[in-house]
Order: sequence, then C-alpha cells, then structure tokens
Amino acid sequence: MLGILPDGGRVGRGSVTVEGREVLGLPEKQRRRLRGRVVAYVPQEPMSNLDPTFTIGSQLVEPLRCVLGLSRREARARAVELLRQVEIKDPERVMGLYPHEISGGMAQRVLIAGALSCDPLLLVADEPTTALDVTVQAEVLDVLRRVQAQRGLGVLLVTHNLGVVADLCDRVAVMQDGRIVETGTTEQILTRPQHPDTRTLLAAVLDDAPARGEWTPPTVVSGAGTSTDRTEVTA
Amino acid sequence: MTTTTPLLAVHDLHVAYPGKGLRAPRTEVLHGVDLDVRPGETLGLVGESGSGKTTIGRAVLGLAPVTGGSITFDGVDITNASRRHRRELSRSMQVVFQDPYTSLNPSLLVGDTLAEPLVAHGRSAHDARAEVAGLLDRVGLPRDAARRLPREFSGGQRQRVAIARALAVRPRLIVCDEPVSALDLTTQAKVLELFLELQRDLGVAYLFVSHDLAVVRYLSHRVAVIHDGRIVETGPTRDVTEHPTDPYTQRLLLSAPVADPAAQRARRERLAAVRASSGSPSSEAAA
Repeated sequence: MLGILPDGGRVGRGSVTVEGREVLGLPEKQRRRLRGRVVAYVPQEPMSNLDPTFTIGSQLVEPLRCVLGLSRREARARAVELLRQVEIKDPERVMGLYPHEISGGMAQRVLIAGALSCDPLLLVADEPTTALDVTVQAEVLDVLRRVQAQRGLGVLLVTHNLGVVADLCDRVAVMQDGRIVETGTTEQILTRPQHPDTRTLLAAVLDDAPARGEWTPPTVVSGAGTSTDRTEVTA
Repeated sequence: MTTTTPLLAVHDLHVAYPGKGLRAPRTEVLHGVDLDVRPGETLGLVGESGSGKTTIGRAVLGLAPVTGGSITFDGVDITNASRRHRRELSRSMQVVFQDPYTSLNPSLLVGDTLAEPLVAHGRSAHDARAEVAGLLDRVGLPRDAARRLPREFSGGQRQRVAIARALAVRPRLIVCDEPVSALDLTTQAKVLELFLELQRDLGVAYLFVSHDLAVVRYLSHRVAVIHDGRIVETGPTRDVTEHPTDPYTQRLLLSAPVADPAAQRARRERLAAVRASSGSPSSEAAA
C-alpha cells in the first residue's frame, strides 16, 4: 500500500486505491505525495525507527518543514503540540532528547506523533505495541484510540494480538498464508468465528483458561533427580 | 506453606552490577528478594522489562553477581557455589532460554546437542545415544530429528529440543526464562501443554519467568509479581490473578487486553479507575 515493499518484492496483480484513486503503478513522485499527507505509517520497532544521531525534536521538525513547508519556528511549535497530543508530558524537554534517552513507550509515542504530523487520513500501524510492556501497551493503545476519535482517522492495524484487536478495532480481517480467510466486525470474529483458522487462533488464547490449582506435595516422583534420600512429606 | 521443605529457597537476595568505568557506583537491580519453589511445583515470576525477573533466574543459576542474601537448593547453600559444585548442580538444575534460535548450537546435530549433557555427566556415548531417542519421544519430536540440524526445525520444535536438552540429566528444577515468548500463539499453547505434561510425569519443578500473565496463570501453582527489583505480591495463582491486592499487580493484570470486545471495554474502564486511584502517571518518565 505504501509502495515500500522490500527489494525484489513486487505487486503481481490487483489494485489499491486511496481516496478512490489507483496508486499501483503511480510514479514515485506522486506516490511520495501520498505518504505522510494521506497515508502515514507507524512501525513495530520504535527504537530502530528513530535515528540515534538526531534529537527527537529535529526528527519531528524536519518532515514538517519539508512536506508542509513550515518555517523553523512554526514547525517547532507544531512538533511540541503533536507531542502533547500523544500525551507526552513536558514535550519541550523531550524535543531536546536523543532516542537513547527515552523509553520504548515514549519512542512509540514519538513515532505516532511523527506519523500524525502531516495530518494524514489513514494510519497504517504495523504491530505498534508488540515491542512494549503490557502496562505501556495499554497507554499507547489509549493514545491511538484518542487521536483516532479526535481526528476521525482511519486506522489499518496489523497485529497478532487478539486482545489488541478487541481493544481498538471495529472490523477485523483474519489472514492465513497470504489470504484473508474471514472478515467481519470485531464482535462477530471474536465471539462467533466461522472459519476453522480463526477458530484455531481463538482457541489458543489463554484469557479464559482456568488458573492452575494449588500445588500438592508429590507422593511419587518418578525419575526426577539423582540425589539420594528424598524427603517428601505428604500434607 | 506445607511441611515439605522447599527445593529452592531464595532469601533477601541482592544483585548489583558494577557501574561503567572506574569507581563508578554499582547498580543494584534486586533489592532483597524472597521466594521458594517446592518439589514438582511451578512458581511463576511475572514482571515487565527491567523488573529484575530474569536476573533472579540468572542468580539461581550462578550467572549474576549476588551481593547479598542467600540461595539454597535442596537444603544446601549455593549462593557462592564453586565451579565444581556448580557442575554438580547442573545435574539437578537446568535452564530453558527464551530464544530457541540462539540457544542451540547451529552446527551440532540435534542428537549431539542432546547427548552432550549426558556424556558430560559420565554416560558412555553409546548409552547417551540410546537415551536421546527416548528424549525425543518425550518432547514429541520424531526419532529422525537426532540426525538433523537445528535450522531444519521451526521455533516451536527448536524449543522442544531445548526442553529435551534440559531434561536429559533428569533435573529437579528447570529455570524457564520466557520459554514461549518467541513462539506464535498456537505453537505456544502446544509447548505449554508439554511443560505441564512433563511436570506431571517427571515431578520436575519450574521457576517460570515471564512477562505474560496469561501464560503464567495457566502454568503456575503460585505467582510472584516483581516490580523494580522487589517482589510486590506473591500467593496462589488464583488469588493473585483474580483478587490482586497490590496496586501494581492490579495495573499489570488490567493492562493485558482480552480478546472479547465487551469484556475489554469493561477492563479498560477498570484500568482507568485503578490508574486514577493509585495516582500513577499515565505516561512514564523519560529515562
């Protein structure tokens, strides 16, 4: 969709339209105009997608000046505002930090801010929270939900985590081996899956699995350990 | 606590890594941790990155600089065990690491990988080879796997090889450090089943380190939650995961989204309430 398939990969057939316009086969120059302004991308690995040699501020300001042609000062003010929107406290200070000085969760917020910087209509987010701890993941999902509501943004979220799907998505498409096997509302897919692959996937979710019961002292321990004289007492 | 003496007992454990540079202060990552694992029991150790959960496992295995406290295995103090003692301990204590792609020697046939610990513990090459076949059966791999290289296997199968290697010497405790985190959901479920089955059949105890509460809940008799180098809550799995008392545990539990839209909406609201009441910052501070 973004036209950034790895080298050698190419679209065999089919069509992708953005705002009703065919984008496959579009010259690179026109495609570039779509990126950022219409379609923006949030990658999976927040840290490796920031340049370690530039401050957060400069990485946000640069595209604003290039793409939108803002002055240095306007771009800076806007970058600070964007950081505030993704709920970074003290954005002025964060602007001056380098990527290694911020946490993974904050880096992902910065990337979301960057993706939003040119007011896109559609956000493509590829496993945006997979690299994050669960408590941080919950916060980043909150941010995504809020900016989506505020801006009326379309989001194409790519994830393996069905919990994230339940948290954020209206509709779901389930993929298996390069094919979409089932689509429907989140409610439908997660509570009444039809396709066997979807069912297998849901069956592997441990949410409803019972907690393991309490431990009982072993009476016979077959073949574990070689130490002699084991004193197990049955309670 | 029952009358059974714990297999592994960790008391007031402190671990500090030396700082960078000369005379730099040490960084303490564990600030007095207590836990124990009984024979045949699974203790789940849950925490987020940087909490020190992996360090506890490493300290137990003698791979982290212990600066205070004690670690007892089967009644014997192993806090500062000698190399020789460690070697002996490796017979009763084994490990399964997170990444099955890097924890297996890529140039060794699976059969040799499995025979190595057996030979190291005095088995003849012939006996070892015979036992390898049994080990492969045990973990649900085909017999001919012994003559293949790790790269011929999927992640889940490689993790089975790693488990078989740990089992080879019939240990009484296996430290499992995020053993299913690198696997996809369906493979993960199968490997967890294997862990349960092996414990039932062999009575091996697990110290199961993971960030994933659902996994820990499924596999553990008891759970210890670690946050910033301290155990904040510990108890039977059902109590900790259904009625957590510590605010951090509550936040951790509610943060993991569930695959049901209605239930997840309710969870989100409860999480917001917990965050508000514990006054935790909604965005983490910069490092």
